[in-house]
Amino acid sequence: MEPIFLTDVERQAKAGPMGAQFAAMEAAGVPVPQILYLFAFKPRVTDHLARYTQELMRGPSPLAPGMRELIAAFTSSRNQCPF
Amino acid sequence: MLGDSAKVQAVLKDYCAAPITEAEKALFQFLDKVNRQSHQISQGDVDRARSAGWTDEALYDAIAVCAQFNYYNRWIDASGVQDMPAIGYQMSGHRLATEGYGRPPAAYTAHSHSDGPDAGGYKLPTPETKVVMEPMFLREVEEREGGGQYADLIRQARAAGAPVSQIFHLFAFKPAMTDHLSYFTQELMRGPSPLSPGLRELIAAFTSRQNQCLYCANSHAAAAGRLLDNRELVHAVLENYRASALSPAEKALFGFIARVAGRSWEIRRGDVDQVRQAGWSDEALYDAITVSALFSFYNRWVHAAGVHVMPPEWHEVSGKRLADHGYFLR
Repeated sequence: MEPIFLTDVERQAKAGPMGAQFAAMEAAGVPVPQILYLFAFKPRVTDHLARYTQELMRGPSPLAPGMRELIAAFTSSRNQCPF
Repeated sequence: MLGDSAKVQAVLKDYCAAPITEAEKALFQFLDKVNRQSHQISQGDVDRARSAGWTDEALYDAIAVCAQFNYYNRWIDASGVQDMPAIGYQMSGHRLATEGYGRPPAAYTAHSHSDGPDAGGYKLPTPETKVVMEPMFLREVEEREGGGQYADLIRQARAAGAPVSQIFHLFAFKPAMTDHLSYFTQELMRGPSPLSPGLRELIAAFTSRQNQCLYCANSHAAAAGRLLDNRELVHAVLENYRASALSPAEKALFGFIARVAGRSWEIRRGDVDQVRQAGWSDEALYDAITVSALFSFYNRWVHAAGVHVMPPEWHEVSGKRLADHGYFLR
């Protein structure tokens, strides 16, 4: 995989507590979703983002989790972003 | 997770022709506008989605998901997260479907929030004349009492006859979810960073102006003016940053932020290298991208729910609260 644009962010993420996990994925030939580097860089900030996203996508709602995922995919495809 | 990937593909290709219900088509039509033209969402758009059978809670959730993926899309685009081989997406999809996004609640206390602001003493000021606000588009969201720190602020505002900043209703409606959003916002906007809190507020205001969200632009411009102790600069940056008194490096950063808020999918490695050459570290760029992406979320959330702009003096009140107390008030 090409490195992300913020190369220092990727480097520091790999050197941090999540580094072993990234290395194991790479050793197993599993592509590391690079968004994980963005989460690993500043966990004090992104742990809250992850919990917020978890509640939003899986918490109580009249919309089923699958429907919420479809809205996420729809939004992303409209924004020409493959994720 | 719908158990029907052909249906998902059909929605992504053209929801109008997809084998989904009319109500679902109405919802995607509404979300298309939330995504791309949220500043033009009207009560009529919300009413049409409602008459297709969606409750205000369903619309609140759908808006939040759509807005949140505007955050993720911009975060990913500007940082240069690359496309993966198909197997990577299959594995990510499986992980999200089985484990979700966050760690289990047992880990919630991993970080102390003791360094967050204490609103113990925060009191909204009393207005000289009564301000009547237009109702929000999502009336049930506004009418439900809600919970958490923002429900307290709403009660306080009502008791004092002060206008309720309607974003409080968006927070109070689902506090189990939005408390995390507040913590996230607080850490991002006030936590350790090479960018000062004032500069981060200015990025928030600038992004909101790009997205034509006056509500957010006014409040965060007021916060930036206080934290930077320079209202003239904030005003000048929002009017035309190129002609402002920002340094050349800051102008390069704001030029980049304009792209994060705009056509972020067109950002390339060379664009990031260029702003880095202006003197910004990767951490500074990461923080600037994250702030801007988060406000692309907030702007859509606020627009689509029908949070109305307030008289200017009340945006000053919000700006002072943000400058003095931050985003998490407990």
